[in-house]
Amino acid sequence: MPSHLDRYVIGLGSTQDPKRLALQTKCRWDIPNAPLLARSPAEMKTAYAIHKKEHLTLRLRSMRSEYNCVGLVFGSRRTAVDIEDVLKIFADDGYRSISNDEAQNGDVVLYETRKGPAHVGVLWDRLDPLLKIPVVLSQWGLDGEYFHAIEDVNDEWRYRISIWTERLIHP
Amino acid sequence: MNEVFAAIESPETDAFISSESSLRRMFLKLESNPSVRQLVRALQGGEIQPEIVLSRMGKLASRTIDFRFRNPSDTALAAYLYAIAVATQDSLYLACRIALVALNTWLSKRIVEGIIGKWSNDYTSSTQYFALPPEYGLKPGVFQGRQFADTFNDFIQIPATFSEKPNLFCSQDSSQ
Repeated sequence: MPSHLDRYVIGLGSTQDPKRLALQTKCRWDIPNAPLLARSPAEMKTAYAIHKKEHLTLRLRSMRSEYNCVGLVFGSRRTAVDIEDVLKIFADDGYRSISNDEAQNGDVVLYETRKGPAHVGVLWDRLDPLLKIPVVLSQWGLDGEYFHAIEDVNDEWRYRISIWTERLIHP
Repeated sequence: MNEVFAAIESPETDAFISSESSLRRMFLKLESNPSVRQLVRALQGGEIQPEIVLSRMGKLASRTIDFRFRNPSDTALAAYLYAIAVATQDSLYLACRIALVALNTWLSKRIVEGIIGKWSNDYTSSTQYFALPPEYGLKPGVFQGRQFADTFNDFIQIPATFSEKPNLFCSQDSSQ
């Protein structure tokens, strides 16, 4: 993919877009966003069945499709935001990368491919009592919202997995 | 080629492409999809005529849909459109027209926007953010004499003011 394509917007999503929701970072940057058209229940069920076949730890939370993974974490499940914007949101909102040992439930998990950010989710359980591994809650594009083991995602997304937090703890 | 068409129109392809979280990511998935690549090769090698693909697109675009939801053929239409744009631009105008006939699409409309954006510099829309890579650039004269932009605007009704780029830096927002 050529470098001049490094800036995409989910569909439209600029401040002139009538579909856009008012959504800003702490620095008052208008996050480009737009709620997406819902997919039919039949399509959502099929998508879940397809992903479940490949990802055994996948557990369905919701079959909504108007938001994506960034919209889940930063848009309260109301809208879709391009994954390419997530680093800007992290920077504006004071997120920092932390080690796995420091991670707490509620922190944000960032998945990257060789070409940059590809997916985000919320660390749901640092150590799932059954699976004995961390579990993440995330929206898979337009395919639904799932709980899944931290590494049980599309192969490409696993190139780099990092955990980010905005937590502030006074000694 | 029927297997290729079936694979492109399958729920699996739709699910894998739709699991991505931006137009760029979806486009990359589309680009690397084995069935789409096979179709591109077949079109380039003349094993299949673009008319066959257009005919598949026509069938998908004219399917009855539930208007409450996204068009279930959106991903397949996008894949066909992409394949024609990359492999043979002779039928690209018609492919864009057919893709725009389908209602409630999203991905295929964005690809049409990319194609038109490349073609028409004065077209003001979010097209500015998405253009097909230069190596897929339009051959001269593909849209010559066509009243395409008007048709496109009729279909998706983009407001004339839709030219603002999103602000990239916090400081720019102080004026709003």
